[in-house]
This record gives sequence, C-alpha cells and structure tokens, in this order.
Amino acid sequence: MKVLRPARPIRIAGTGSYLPERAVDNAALVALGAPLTEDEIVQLCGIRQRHWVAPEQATSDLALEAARRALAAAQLRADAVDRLLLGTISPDHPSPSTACKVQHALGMRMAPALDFSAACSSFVYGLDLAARAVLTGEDAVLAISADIRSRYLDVEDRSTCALFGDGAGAAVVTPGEDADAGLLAIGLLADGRGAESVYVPAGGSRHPASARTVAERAHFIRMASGPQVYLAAAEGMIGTAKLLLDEVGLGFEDIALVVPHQPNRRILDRMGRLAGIPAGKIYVNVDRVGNISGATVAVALDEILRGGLVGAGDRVLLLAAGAGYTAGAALLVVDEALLRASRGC
Amino acid sequence: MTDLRRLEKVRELVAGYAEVTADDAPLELDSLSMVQLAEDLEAEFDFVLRADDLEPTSFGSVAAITAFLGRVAP
Repeated sequence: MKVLRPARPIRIAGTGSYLPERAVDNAALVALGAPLTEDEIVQLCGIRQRHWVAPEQATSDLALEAARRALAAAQLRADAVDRLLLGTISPDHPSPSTACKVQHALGMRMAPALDFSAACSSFVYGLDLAARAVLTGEDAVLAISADIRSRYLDVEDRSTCALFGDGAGAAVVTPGEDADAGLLAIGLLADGRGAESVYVPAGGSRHPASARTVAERAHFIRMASGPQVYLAAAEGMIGTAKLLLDEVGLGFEDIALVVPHQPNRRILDRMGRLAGIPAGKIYVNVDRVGNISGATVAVALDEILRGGLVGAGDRVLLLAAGAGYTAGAALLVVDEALLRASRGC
Repeated sequence: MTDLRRLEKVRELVAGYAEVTADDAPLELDSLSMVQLAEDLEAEFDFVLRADDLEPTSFGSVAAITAFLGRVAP
C-alpha cells in the first residue's frame, strides 16, 4: 500500500451529514417480513434501528443536504468549491452522474463533478482523491459519500435484511497551514478477488434489467458468505490500519479515537479484540444507524466532531473496508478551527 | 491436544448450533451460527480464523473442522 503523506498541509475545513427522518427499528423490520426475530437481529449484527429514505427521496437529495451542512460548517460558498466528488453505489440513475445533479443543486456553476464507486470505503477513497486535487492546486474540494441501500434490500434475505440503512456525509477539504494537523496520511487498497462477496448481480452491463432478473430478485444485495465477509472486513480494517500506522511510526495506542466503517457490531468487536484496541477507543453508531455503506465513516466523523468526542490535537483514525474488496485508512489530526466549525462557533 | 480430544471438543461445540448425525455429514449452519461457532473455536483452540479458511473443505463437517484445527492449532 502506497500511503499518501501530503507534502503540504491538507485539512478538513468542515463536515456535514444527513440521515433520513424515517427510523426503522427491528420490530418494524420484522413486521415488513424479515425472516428473523428482533433478538436474532441484535445477536446477528447489534443493529437496533436504521434510517430509510422516503419514497420521493433519491441519493442526490441526501448528498445535497450533507454537502450544504459541510459547506455551512466550513463557512464556504458552493461557488468557491473547485471540485465535487461523490462516492456512491446507489446513484440516482445509471447515467449521468449523481454528482452533476448535486453540483447543479448547490449552484456550483462549472466546477467538475463526478461519481466514483468504492462501496463502503468510498469516504476514505474520496478524502484521498480530494487531498490529491488540493495538492495539485485546487483550493476547496467537496468529498461526499451517499447511499440508499434500502432500495436494494431483500427483506426476505436473512443474511442482509437487517444490516443496511441510508444516509450521506460530506467533508470540505482545503489547504492547511499547520504541518502537524489535518490529513496526515491516507492509504487505500483493493482486492478484486472479493468482487462477488457482496454485490448486486443485475442492473449493470453484465446482466441488464429484464423480466428474468426481476423475477430472480437479482437487483437486490447478495452476500454469498456472511461469515467470510465478517472475517474479511475485520482483517481488511486491521491490516490497512497497521500498514498506515507503520508508515507514520504510530501504533493504536497513539490514536485518540478509531472511527471505523460500521458493517456490524460483531465485526467491530472482533477488530478491537484482534488489534488490541480498547472498546472505548472505537466509535460505534451501528446500533442506531446500521451500515450506510460509503456514507458510514463520513456520518460517524461528523458525529464525533459535532458531539465533542474529540479535542484539538487528537489523532483520529478513519478506517473502512467494503465490497470489491476495498479498504482504506486515513489519519486525521483534529485542529481547533475544525472543532469550532463543527460546533457552529 | 490429542486427535480424539480435539474431535470430541469439536463435536461438542458444533452440537450447540446444529444436529450432528455423523462426523463426515455436511453441516447446515446459518450465518449467525457459523460466526458464533467460529468464535467458539477460536476461543477454545486459541487461534485466529482467517476469511480464506472458511471454505467448505475446512468447515463442511465435524471431521473437516477437526482436520483443519489439526493443521492451524495443533
């Protein structure tokens, strides 16, 4: 893994997130036909509720709201953004990009906007792309991750029906001034051997939508082996974290808070156990928001900043692993200005 | 640990999640049971299971699990 260690300071100037209003608890999920009991769901994944979109909402709506909140925190006008990056695996349409719709809705004029796909790792991938854009001369890049997994959910599938929620998160990435704060290191990985471990079989060019694909329920998320994914996710996050920490000469003991992807409470517990990270140093929100795919880490980062869970100078390790397989880690040292921005002062 | 003791322990742990009619009979475990069994085996035999280990050849039956453990946690 080649770790990006920015030659000039790069910082996050503001974050924002959005969760749809509708909270679906396990009782509601069972009432919808999930073939699990409420107790089984909690045992399986530790999730007690997740947020799902309203019928009229699409991914761009969620992304737009998160982006507006991030821009407000950063006290930046949309027309000052040089580039918009949107990580999603649930775009509004196969084409054009959802990013273009968000760009227009924000009033960004001609700034480039594009979608990219890295599944649950998309926010860390987005930070990497944004940091590189700033390093090559741009002044403000909006990195958004947004996903609506409820539209791809088979409520009759025991292995996936309880896991996923909807939401969006965003960060404004800009040049910094302090070499010891901001985004100090980012590392990404992919391993295509896992490409069909968690995937949506139909609806793309391999199996275009047809009466047959609909009848076969092939437009829903499929997870061939939940236990294998459980092990691979923990391995991916620990392995990526260690590679990044080794590169910067730190250990988990030097990190104030680990903010991992939240696929399942059991995976987070396993990660902590195997890596020797105390439970209190791993941020957990999976119980109330579920797995929001690429938006997960973005939402979690916004929550810890706005919730005052970290202080200036704290090292935060963002970790992700997802379908593909993809994985990523980013080391963020929180600066005072970001804390003030997050608290609206 | 002797092979027989290992086999007895695996039978005992697997029985918590599935009916075992014979050591070489295919195991029918759902995702939750498989994960819980994996955690039980790790705790009992003091090893770390890797994603690549979870193949039918290594976790398909009591006999297969026992043979697998003989290799990774002798």
